[in-house]
Amino acid sequence: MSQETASTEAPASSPLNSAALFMREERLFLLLSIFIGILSGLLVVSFRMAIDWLQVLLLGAAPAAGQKKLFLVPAAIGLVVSVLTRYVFPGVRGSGVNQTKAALYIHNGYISVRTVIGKFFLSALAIGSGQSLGPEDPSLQIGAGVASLIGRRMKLSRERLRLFAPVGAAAGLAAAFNAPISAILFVIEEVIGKWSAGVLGSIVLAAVSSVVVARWFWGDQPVFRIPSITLRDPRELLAYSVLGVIGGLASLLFAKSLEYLRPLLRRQSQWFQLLQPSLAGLLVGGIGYFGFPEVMGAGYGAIDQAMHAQFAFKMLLALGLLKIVATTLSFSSGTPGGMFAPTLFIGAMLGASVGSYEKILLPHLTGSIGSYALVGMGVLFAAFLRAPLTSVFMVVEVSGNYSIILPVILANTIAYLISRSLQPVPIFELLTHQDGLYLPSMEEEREEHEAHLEDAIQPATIPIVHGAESVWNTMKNVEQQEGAAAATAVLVQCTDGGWYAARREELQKIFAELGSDLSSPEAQIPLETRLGAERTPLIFPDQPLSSVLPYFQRWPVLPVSNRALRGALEGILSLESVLKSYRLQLSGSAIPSASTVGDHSIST
Amino acid sequence: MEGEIEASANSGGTSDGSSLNLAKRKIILRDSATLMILALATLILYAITSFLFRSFETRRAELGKKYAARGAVALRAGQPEQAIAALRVAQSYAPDARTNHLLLAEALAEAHHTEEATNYFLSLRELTPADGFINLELARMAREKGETRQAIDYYRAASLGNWQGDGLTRRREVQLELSDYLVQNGQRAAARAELLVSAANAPETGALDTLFGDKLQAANDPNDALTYYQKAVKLDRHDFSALLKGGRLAYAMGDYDTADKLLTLAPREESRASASEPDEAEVTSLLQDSERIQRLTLSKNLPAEDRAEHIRTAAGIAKQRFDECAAKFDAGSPDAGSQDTGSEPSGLQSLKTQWQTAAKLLNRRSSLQNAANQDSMAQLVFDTEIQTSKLCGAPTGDDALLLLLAKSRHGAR
Repeated sequence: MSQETASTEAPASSPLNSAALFMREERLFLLLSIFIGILSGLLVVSFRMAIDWLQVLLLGAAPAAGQKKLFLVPAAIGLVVSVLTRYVFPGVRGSGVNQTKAALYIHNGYISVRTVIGKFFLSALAIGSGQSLGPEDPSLQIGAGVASLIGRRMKLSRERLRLFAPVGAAAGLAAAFNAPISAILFVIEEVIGKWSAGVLGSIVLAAVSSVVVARWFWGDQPVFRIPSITLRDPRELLAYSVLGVIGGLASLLFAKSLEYLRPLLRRQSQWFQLLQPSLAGLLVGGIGYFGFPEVMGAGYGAIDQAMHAQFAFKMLLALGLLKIVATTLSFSSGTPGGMFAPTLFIGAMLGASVGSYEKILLPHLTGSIGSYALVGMGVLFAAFLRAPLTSVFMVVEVSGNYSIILPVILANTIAYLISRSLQPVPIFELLTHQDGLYLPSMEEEREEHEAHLEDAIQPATIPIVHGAESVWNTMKNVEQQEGAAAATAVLVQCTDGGWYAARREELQKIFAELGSDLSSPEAQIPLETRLGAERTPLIFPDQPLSSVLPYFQRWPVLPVSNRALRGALEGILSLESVLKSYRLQLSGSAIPSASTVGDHSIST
Repeated sequence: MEGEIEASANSGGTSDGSSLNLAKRKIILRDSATLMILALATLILYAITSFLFRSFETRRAELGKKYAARGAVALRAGQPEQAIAALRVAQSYAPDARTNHLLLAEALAEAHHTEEATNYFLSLRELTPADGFINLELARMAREKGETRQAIDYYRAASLGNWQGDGLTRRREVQLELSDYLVQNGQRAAARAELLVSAANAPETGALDTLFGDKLQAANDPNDALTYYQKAVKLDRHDFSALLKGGRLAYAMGDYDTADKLLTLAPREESRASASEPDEAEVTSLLQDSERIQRLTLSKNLPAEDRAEHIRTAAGIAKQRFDECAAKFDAGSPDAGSQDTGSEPSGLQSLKTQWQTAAKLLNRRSSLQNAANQDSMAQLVFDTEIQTSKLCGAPTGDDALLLLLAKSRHGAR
């Protein structure tokens, strides 16, 4: 993948100017987003169909424990997938999320057709043969690949091409989940990392188009159906909090397993690496053969059964733990396939087991086991994938049940906080580091502290004069002020409410021109008239620190105004104070509080 | 790319109007062509996906039907666990097949996976809250879990709900099941109300009237029960079951006349050939007893002559019973009672005195024509039967019948 680079061309030898080309791309961008959505939707429908077909063909219509093919088939198919991944489709390893991010940040939005084809067939083969992986992340990459292909064919600019990858990713994920909001949020939360009005419209269009296509084939019913929940007693939220804690710990176990096993397997010899998907298939199949076939594949059927309380407590717990083992094996072996479905599976099983146990302990609780399973899904999604906002909407969308929102928010937040404190590096970032890539961490970016003016603001210790005063009076006034001689600048408060920051030399030049003749008309001119109409920019304490840096070329200091009272001075900024603030931030020192400088404002 | 755009921007600044138009036209044409190709590719992909999807869905539907049929057969054969396995597979292929959901939920309930089945039915009820079958199953499971209030609510929802096929019959069955449950929980008045509503809506058939009679009798409403038995007999005078049950109930209620009428009809009918031997024996016995009771009855409604005759006969029987009982005590019989072994109890002594006085009345034929004398004599007969039954054990024969009359009179009071 790394050797692949963007190879796009601008419209050949066009005499159109860049503004015209920009307008063309702007218009095409929205239209193409719809095409990307439709094509991604169709491909995702085909992809899911391929998985189901292959499952029936390879494992039979009713796979059950004790059938020998349960461990023979995944092992044999694992070998085929491994060989094809090594020699034909080298870009299809992994889930698809990091590969899409890499396409966005490293390859200028380029995803090859070969990667899309390989991802489609090899992921379908792997999941259909029973490897414990899911179809959502590959769908995301397939969508991004379709977008990349269309962008290249339309000869869009590199910038647009780069933006197309997340648009396609959202479309692919939306179709796979049948949940447009979650897909949009996930792409913003995990792939792009920020809200951008320019790309948001396209992402929404693509996601909606792909979901329309998916629903055209599958219908518009939610993926999971559970009875609505009535929280009669707020104390019931405590039960969901317990689930949040357990989910946070389970996600830690899952992440640690991957953190340990994946690099260990990748350090082995090339031959052994070639055999790893087959061995993983054998082990996962073994789990199925010895009584837990539910663990194999994506496991949506088992999730549905858990939601309808069709498993006993111990079985649920066993399935949750075995799924962690099976997914760690399948994913670490390099078999292409996603982690979304296994994460949901583990969450559903743990949730249902907690629900079952709490039902035994506290039979008066009104929440059904299905509701616990659903909340469990969200919990693992928030804690393991570190997408807290997406996790909440995902649960609501896949169940079509808004009544679950309170328990979901509570449990997800608890799980997310536990996971973040115990596993500081999010799983996607961990995996990219293991692959030797350093893609931007969206969680870090979200929580990055951006320095503001209030962090660098200082008390106004330089002389302050009124612009309405005559030049002569100002001169006398400045001379009388204590410490004025040492000040490099003087702040002039103008009658129009603005400020002027005059350098000492500038004022001295004006005073020098005046001489000692008090009676001259020049001496009686108001200072602000003498200084001209230019004023310092109007800036406020909450603005980003970086936004004022260009002004220091013109002004020695910058007065910081109060938003409620124009002209009231909060303090001043100098280039030194700004740089000092940045230095403090880099060294991790506490940023000085604005409260220490807040008292120095003057009122007009 | 960016460099090329910049280049194009520069060249744009120097080109004349015609070359600009030409360039614009070329780009529009090329974009249109690309979009057309894209649209065509979308259509082709849609056609292929649709074709594959249809074929895929057909196959899935076939598999769904196959496993659903297998599950249904297992369920009918009383193998719910096998049915569950098959129906789960069926459901994975046909997740929207409502029948599979219902069968699976039913199989779970059959296999006593009550919690699972309840949750399953609840989720189904979310989609069709007025479904009679789902509410009935939920009622049964709530009943199994001992949740009486919920069970009754679900039963009521089922009785008012939608049913496939013969809704009237299904609703009536639910009401009858509910009334049984209410009786079982001691809520007889509610059960009676439920039954009367159901009976009012039911078609008039002998079998149904008999059934309502049975249920009303269980709900402690013998009067209405007897009415329904009589209705059944009215519809079909050959209805042995209604005759027997009605006769038995009337006899128990002390309405010997009705009992006699009903029971008199029963043995004469050919249909009794279908009745069991014990039933036939019971009819004969009840009929004999009814007839005999009517000859022994001391009712004030009888003509004075007849009543005097009945009292004379009854007094003879009661006196003999008294003498036998008293003799036991005189002989110091250990069977004669626990409290006064070897000596006559005060109750017997009092009766002895009364019988001595009554002997005069009995000897004078005319004295029994007097209503007051008849009443006091009848009272003595009843007191004797009640006392002797307490002191000398349960009577048999005519004494037992007189005791029955005494008790019914006592009850009436």
